[in-house]
Amino acid sequence: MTGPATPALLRRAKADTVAFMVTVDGLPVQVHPGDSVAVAVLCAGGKPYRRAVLGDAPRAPYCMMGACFECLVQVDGVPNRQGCLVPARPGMRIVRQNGLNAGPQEGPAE
Amino acid sequence: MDEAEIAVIGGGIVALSVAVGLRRLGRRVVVLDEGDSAIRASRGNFGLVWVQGKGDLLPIYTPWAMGAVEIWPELAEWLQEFTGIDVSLEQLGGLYLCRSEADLALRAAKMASVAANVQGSYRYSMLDNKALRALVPQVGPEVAGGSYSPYDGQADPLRLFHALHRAYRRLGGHYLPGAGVASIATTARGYSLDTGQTRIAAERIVLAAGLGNAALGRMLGVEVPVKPVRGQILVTERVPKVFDLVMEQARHTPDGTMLIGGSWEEGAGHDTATSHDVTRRIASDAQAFFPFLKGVNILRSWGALRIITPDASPIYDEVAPGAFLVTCHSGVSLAAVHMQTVAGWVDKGAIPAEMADFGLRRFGNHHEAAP
Amino acid sequence: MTGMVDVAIIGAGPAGMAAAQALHVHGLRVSVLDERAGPGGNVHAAALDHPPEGAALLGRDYVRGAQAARAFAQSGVPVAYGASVSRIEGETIHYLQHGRLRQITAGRLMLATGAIERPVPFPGWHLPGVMGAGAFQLMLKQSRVVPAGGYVLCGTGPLVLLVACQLLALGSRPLALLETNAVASPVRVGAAHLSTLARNAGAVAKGLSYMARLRLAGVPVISGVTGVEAKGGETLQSVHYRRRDGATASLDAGMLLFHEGVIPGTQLGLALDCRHRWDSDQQCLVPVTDEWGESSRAGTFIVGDAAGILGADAAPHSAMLAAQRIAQQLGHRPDARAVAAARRALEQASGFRRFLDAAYRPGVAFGTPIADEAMICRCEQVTAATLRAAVRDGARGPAQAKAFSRCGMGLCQGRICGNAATRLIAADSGLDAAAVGGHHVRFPLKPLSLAELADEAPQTEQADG
Repeated sequence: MTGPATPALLRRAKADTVAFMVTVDGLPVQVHPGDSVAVAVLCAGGKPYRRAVLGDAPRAPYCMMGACFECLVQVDGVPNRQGCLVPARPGMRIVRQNGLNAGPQEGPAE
Repeated sequence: MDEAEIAVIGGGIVALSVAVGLRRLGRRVVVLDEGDSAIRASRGNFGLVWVQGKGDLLPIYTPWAMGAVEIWPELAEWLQEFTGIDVSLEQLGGLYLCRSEADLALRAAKMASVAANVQGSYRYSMLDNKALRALVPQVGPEVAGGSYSPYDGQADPLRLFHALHRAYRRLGGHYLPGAGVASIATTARGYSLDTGQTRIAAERIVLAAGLGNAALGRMLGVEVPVKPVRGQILVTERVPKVFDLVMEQARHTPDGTMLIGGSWEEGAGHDTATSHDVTRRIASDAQAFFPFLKGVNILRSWGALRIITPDASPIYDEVAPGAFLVTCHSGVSLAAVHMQTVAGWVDKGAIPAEMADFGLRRFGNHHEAAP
Repeated sequence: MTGMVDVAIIGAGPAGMAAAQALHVHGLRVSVLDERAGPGGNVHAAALDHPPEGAALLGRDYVRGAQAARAFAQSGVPVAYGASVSRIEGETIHYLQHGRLRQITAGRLMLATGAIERPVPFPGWHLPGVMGAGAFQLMLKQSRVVPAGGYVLCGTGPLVLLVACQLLALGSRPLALLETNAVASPVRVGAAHLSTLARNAGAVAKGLSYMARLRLAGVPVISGVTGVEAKGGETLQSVHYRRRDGATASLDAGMLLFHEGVIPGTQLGLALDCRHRWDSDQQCLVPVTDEWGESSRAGTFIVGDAAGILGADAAPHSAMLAAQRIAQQLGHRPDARAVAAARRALEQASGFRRFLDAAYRPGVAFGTPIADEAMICRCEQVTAATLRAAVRDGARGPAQAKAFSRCGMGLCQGRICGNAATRLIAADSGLDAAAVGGHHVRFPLKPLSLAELADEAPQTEQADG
């Protein structure tokens, strides 16, 4: 299911705040205050935002307001978080979800 | 004014099983269903195809249930062929889990009493925690034990519900939604049913409206002793399939979600709401039963109303000439036998021997409604 | 945040902020819950995350919204951010915050949950790269991001034009604007609303200036689009469209930003069994309230766009009415002048909304039957064809259709498919959409884990902020 790398959907046009780093699937990504986790993943690119449980279909955020659940992502070990509602924080470990939730990974940050 | 040989009142799994059976016998049938928001046990069903424990208060129910699950595979096969819908029947045995030793002792007594009344073989076993975990390793360490029966299984109730409606339509059955029956009158040729918008004339009628049978019975001067017992159910997100056996407290649906039951609430009336306290208790029990579910998300909860008679067994009775009462709590388990034997009874009018003792008279002489 | 309050307000957008401050002034105990990390709602999202001078880029309305959010943050009203309502039962609100289920009790409840972009299913709308233009605007406000590749805007209404202008201001130019307005000449509609337009001259001038800026930037505006389809594999590759005269064409693009207006966010009100009616003009469910915003569930008020779309400027006024009414119910003297001013403002907003609704008719959502291959329920991947089969099999409403097809059974619980499902069932069964009705909403309102439900924090353990 890999194929050619998926381009990032977003680019930053303007930065008026100080950047910090998160990881997406272990790779460093630069983000800014105000960014949601969803924006971090959309800026990272390389792979589809997530793959649906049904049929492995590639999906990406649709509504950005907490309604559609297309932005589900694992944040600091907790699966199924709505990436559009969770603000990115320095050092956050974001992991794309591909298919079934196999339960918490790496242990949630306390 | 519509007209049919047989009018089936109800739109759930029980009604449609009988209606499909009657269409297959070539009868002209009309199904009178309520609207979209009708109280509908068929949409809240857990999906057990179940024998164990049935019959403790009415011994003939045990062989009836055993016969029903025995012919279930034919129903599943026919529905698959005729409607293209796979109802996902699996009959690999079932478990009833008991969290505490006290629950386990009660369960053992109930199973022993059922077995004692069965003529011929009735296989089941009581399991302690160790034996339980040998069968289902995911069961938690603090679960006292459970009962196992090889007769039990599961089918997807929503797919069954859909398949029955589709089969009925494909058989040319007449379906009237939004047509709850407001009154029943007798006529020279049978019955006239008034829905408030239209009248339907039928030679025979089948009362198969679940809890609605109480009101329908009163229209015929008959007390139908059914009462609602609410059960709340949680459904989880999709999880990888971990066990093949089905449990009264957990069922892995063919779509991948897990259904988690349940509650037994007698005082809730016709309220299908869920409550925080009960859903929280169910979640707590489920964590004890299956620790691996701890981090799994609950997507929804719902309340459904069981249709319970005083002995928790079905009622089949011709309550007035040509008026056939069919009511039970186990529409899924009994679907195949409803489609065959029960539809055959409505068709011929003569009650088969194995159904004869499911009548209202077993509740004594109190079933005549006050005039 | 204390465990027992007079009024709990769900949503810290323009309506929720205004109501909370008005009630706070009366000395009532108020708690606000919002899913986001800060105030402002969707319309002024992330207002506090950027220096004020940066907001100017997004236009004057956003600057004003940012100021309101700042004022609210300094008002001392207790707010739980990152708080997602899970269940409301009687007066108890159970909400999930920072991975714990918590509860507060409130004598009155105010739903200020705002609007959602009207979900319009078309073939390929589930592909990565297709999203709401309003959704994209949220990211733009939060993060000053633009599409990385070529993109197309599609839809109708002032918001599409505004987003286009905001993108231009950030140095990004869409390949085209596919205009789906079913009204061929909004100017002619304007002639019938002249007095309204005169009273809303500022808003009208804004709208005209958006168009002028688009023309100046050389963005092709293709009008009369009635159907759209997104094609691609792992992500969107091309946008195909059909015009009123039957002509078809396509554009290669990596993103498609679609918008045909907004509808009230009714999920919470539906879950509480508040009475709703079908608005046949806007083709959506709207809660039934009295003139103060009180719903059929006594003590539950619905305000702002959640009660019917009037826009962010009008939202504080309906919130003010509800706040004054609650103050009165709780034995305080309502501010009669504030009530009168709010009513006047709402009347003016309603007039302008009538013009907007008449001038911009969603051509795809209202004008074109949903294509069979469109995935109407994205969560459970139910196509319109499958839902149609459920209707053929006898389903006459969303509950039976859900049982037959799984449409609405997924994670979003019908938030995205509900509106389209009602419209499709009505169209295919010949019933009135009002008779078809909306979907049933079950608790929990958002998924939570078994452990989170089983281990709810005791009432005394409450987190602030």
